[in-house]
Amino acid sequence: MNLLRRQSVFSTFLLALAVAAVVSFLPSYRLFLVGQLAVVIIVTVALTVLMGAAGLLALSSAAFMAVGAYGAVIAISTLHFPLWLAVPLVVVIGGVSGGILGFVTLRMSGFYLAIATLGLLQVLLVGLKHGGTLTGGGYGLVVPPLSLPMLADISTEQIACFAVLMMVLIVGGSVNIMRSRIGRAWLAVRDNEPAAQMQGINVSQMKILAFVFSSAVISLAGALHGFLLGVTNPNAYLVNLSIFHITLVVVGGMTGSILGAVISPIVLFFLPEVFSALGEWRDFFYGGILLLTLVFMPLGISSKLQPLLLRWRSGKKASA
Amino acid sequence: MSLFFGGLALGAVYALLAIGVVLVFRASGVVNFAQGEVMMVSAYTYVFASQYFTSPAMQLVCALAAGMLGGLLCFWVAHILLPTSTKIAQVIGTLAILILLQAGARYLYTDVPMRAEAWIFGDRDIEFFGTSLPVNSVLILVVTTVATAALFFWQGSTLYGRAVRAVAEDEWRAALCGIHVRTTLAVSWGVGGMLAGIAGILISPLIGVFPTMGDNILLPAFIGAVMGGFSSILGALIGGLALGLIQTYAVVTFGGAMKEVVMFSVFILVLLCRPSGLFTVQQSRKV
Repeated sequence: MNLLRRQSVFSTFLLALAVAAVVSFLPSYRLFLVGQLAVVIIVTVALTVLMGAAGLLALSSAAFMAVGAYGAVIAISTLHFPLWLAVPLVVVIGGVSGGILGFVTLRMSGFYLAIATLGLLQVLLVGLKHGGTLTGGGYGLVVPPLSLPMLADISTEQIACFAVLMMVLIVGGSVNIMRSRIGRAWLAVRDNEPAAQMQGINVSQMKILAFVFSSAVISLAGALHGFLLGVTNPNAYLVNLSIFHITLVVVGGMTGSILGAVISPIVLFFLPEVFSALGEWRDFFYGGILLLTLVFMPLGISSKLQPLLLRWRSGKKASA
Repeated sequence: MSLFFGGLALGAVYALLAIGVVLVFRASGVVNFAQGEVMMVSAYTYVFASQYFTSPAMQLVCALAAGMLGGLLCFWVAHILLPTSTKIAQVIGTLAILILLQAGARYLYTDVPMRAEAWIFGDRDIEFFGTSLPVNSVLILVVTTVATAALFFWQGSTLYGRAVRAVAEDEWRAALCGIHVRTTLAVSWGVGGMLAGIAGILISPLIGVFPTMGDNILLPAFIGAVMGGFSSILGALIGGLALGLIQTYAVVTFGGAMKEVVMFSVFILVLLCRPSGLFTVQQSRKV
């Protein structure tokens, strides 16, 4: 069992390196879009774990993206932290603040979390707009030139490749977490809280853990997003962004399926962007998709894909 | 003194939205995130109605009708379109309405705020206890009081109001008593929408009418409702009023940027100390 685990960690890492290497051959404008896609996938996966697996509705994904983006830029340009320290620091800050928020709200019924996370987002946005020179007010901040000990002047393309690398790692990690004891505990808590409690699962602890995990990962995505764009602007992190992420999760399936969380950003974010088809109809498109999915496909895209995948797997085994 | 009344007037608008949210939540267990957008829709309706009609009664009727339709739209999505077994899907459904209504308003009328005349009295001031007050804030207080009193009378003393309360308490047993559950639910959502409509009329002269006007009001309304424990109409009224006062004095004392921070701290404090609301007897954990 232990060996299998180590093997899967190793193969995930290899896969991540391979995907990042392949992606790095793309032309630069495509690479930028792929990097953004990687960021959106990371957020969707993290939110799927929170909403789908643990069954918690949170409107704070935009807030934690802002924490990541602003935190990283402030740590680097104002506090003069090196890049390799700033990013993990931001992830830790995101995780801890998510844990605190979870601790305060989870003793109450579920929708308090939605309200509290909405409140956190509003407070944070006001703070960012009135933060003076620290946050750059309504104009936001410009990302300083990034460098690592081995690597000076990191380009946007390199960041995009790194985002893809992290995306594969996080997807692999989430798949493993969902298969582990913790993931099964989340599903149990979501499906029947009293029953899960009687099985000896510490319900509040599990919920807070889900919140910490997703906030930390979303903060990382936020930092990458800020680096990719080169600027951080408070108006990029409105509640609409959170609802966009929720749309992706709902389409992917609120069942905790990581597969759906990877597919739905590709279909709903990447394809429209490639063909730049949305324009001013963006909000109508995503709002409509959200509603239609809730009505016609409440279990999401993964519920349609899972049977196909199973058939494909069994077919492969039979032929081998 | 004028500050005090300004705070109360703002709080009254929060309270109207909060009462609508609580009414709907009590009846159906769904938190309506689109309540601010229902208010936005009726505020737009009020602006256009006041261009066509000079009579305040007609303006009121138009805005209330828009609010009611908005509430019923939310009801239709949350209860007819979506399965009622999963609360989280219903709440996300109201989020979808929020986005769609905002996008629709932005598409039709752009982001530029529209000016709205104050209802009935315009922008006059009156003398009150030796200070001069904008008559609009007094009007807001009077209207809110009247609306809440009417709501209390309806729910406490009329047969149909009691039926609505019965459904809120226990759907299944209410149905056994011969109450048509779905209709009473629709009525609750419609009345909630009408309250948002009143709020739209009252707030639009103060802040203007624009697609995202609901965003800034929804959170205080929620917090007011939480202060009331999310179950009592009186609690939501008092919570909303108190929050308006707290917010106004916070702006004066600490500056405009601290408004949201103070509100959020109040919210967290209430959650930590009195999760069942400030005005209720402590009960066992709500599930």
